[in-house]
Amino acid sequence: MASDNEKTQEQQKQIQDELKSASVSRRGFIDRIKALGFGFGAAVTLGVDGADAREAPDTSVNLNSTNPALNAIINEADKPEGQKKPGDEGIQMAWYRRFFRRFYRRGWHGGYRRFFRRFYRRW
Amino acid sequence: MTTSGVGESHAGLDSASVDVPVFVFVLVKLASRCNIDCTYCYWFRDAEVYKKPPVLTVEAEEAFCKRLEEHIRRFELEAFMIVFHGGEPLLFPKHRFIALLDKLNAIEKRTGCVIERGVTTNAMLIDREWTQIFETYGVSPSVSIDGPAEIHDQLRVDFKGKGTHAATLRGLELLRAAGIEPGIISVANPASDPAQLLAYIVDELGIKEFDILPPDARHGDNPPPIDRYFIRLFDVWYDTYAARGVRVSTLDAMIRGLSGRLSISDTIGLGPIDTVTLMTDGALEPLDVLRIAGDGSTATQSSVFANQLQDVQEDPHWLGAFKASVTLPEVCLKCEFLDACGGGHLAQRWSAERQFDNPSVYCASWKAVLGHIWKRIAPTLVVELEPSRLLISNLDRELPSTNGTSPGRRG
Repeated sequence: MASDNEKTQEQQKQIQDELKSASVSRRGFIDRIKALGFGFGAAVTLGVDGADAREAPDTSVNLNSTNPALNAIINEADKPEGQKKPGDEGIQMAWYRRFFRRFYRRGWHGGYRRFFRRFYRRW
Repeated sequence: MTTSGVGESHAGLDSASVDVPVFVFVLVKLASRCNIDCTYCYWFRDAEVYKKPPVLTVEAEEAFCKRLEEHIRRFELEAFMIVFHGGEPLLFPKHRFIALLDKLNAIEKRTGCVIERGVTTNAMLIDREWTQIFETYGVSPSVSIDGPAEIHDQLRVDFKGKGTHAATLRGLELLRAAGIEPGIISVANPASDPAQLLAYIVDELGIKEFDILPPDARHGDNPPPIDRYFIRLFDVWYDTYAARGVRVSTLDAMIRGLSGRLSISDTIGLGPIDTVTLMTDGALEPLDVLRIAGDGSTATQSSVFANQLQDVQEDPHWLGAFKASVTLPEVCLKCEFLDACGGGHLAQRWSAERQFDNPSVYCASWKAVLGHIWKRIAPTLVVELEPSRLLISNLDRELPSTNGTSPGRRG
């Protein structure tokens, strides 16, 4: 009988294979993740009522990319300048809520990085 | 102060997790008028704008600075952000802008709070004096330019209907000659080829980080679909420019959303909108783009003369917009792109019949665009499993709240 760890790894591999085949829609992907008992996406992270996300699962699926440009975008705000440290998650969320979204939209330019660093460190 | 009721009666973000935060960002309208007449502008769709003073009044400026300092002290803020906006903000007299910036510097000195400043402009009025002001006072400009002259001049016209590209380019060049690298914001023209826009901004202007926004529209406007435009934009960017380090904010937001990360844009993505706008008469209003809803749609009873900055959150109009941003219609909640789209831009959900209780007017287009991007990026995605956590619960531990006791959570 496979251990929980082996079972989880097997499930992870299954999801990976489905993604690689390029045949799975996002709906299919989300349903698959959900059926396996994992959480995924901003709706789960934020606890969206009505989106089956109120009860957060114990394990979440994170996606990265083998494409360097995509991966940089996916992880940029999560790991600003390689400074991510354990316990910083709340600071990142603060950034999202209070500055990043608005300033990103209003003024996308080099200055925002300076701004980002400044606020990130202060918070 | 209370925000009870947020999320109580509708599905959406859990009300406990979307408490109104302490404001650390204000959009300051230096001018309510503009020197050009862009055909797609949301601002003048509300005739109330014409009843406002043309530029920020001296009295409103004084009161705002006083309120700002009180706000910073009250919440012990270490950082605050002001974006100067319009109309066209550079219609504001230079000597008054300098005086305002001096006041902000003085507040910084007295409180120790860093006050970052940005300005969004069409750049047509920029001269050497403006560039010196920006440089001296650390004001970061963003320039609105929609592409090469043949695209830009179709919709960004002056009051005689003439294109404004040449004047904008002149301002842009002056900024860059002064060593100021401005941000670029473009509005998509669905009738054009986005490849032309990308080539212009990246190859001709030499700018690698910018944004391309969907045209502002509400239900009833029947705007043309934008799916073909944004699908082509993504494909050209992905195949030609991504590896060169070129970044388009709206595409970033969609990619992040599709890969399960949180939103980084008001344009698209899931999350609350809590912008405060200072009008030229001192009124405090919600997100300025909501003016697209029509006459008086953003008018509140709050102003810097009578209220603290934080008080606007109790105003029904401000609270209504905030609630709407976290209260999505059923069709969105059941959508496979919910967390990547979040109902789109709040203003684009407006209809006269149902107010904000609609998906985006671009819903069908965003579905097609997000579906296409998913199809292209899915084969590159790598699955990682990690312990789940609600980020909001971390927020509660980290952030100051408006009642000063339970961070991020309000009763």
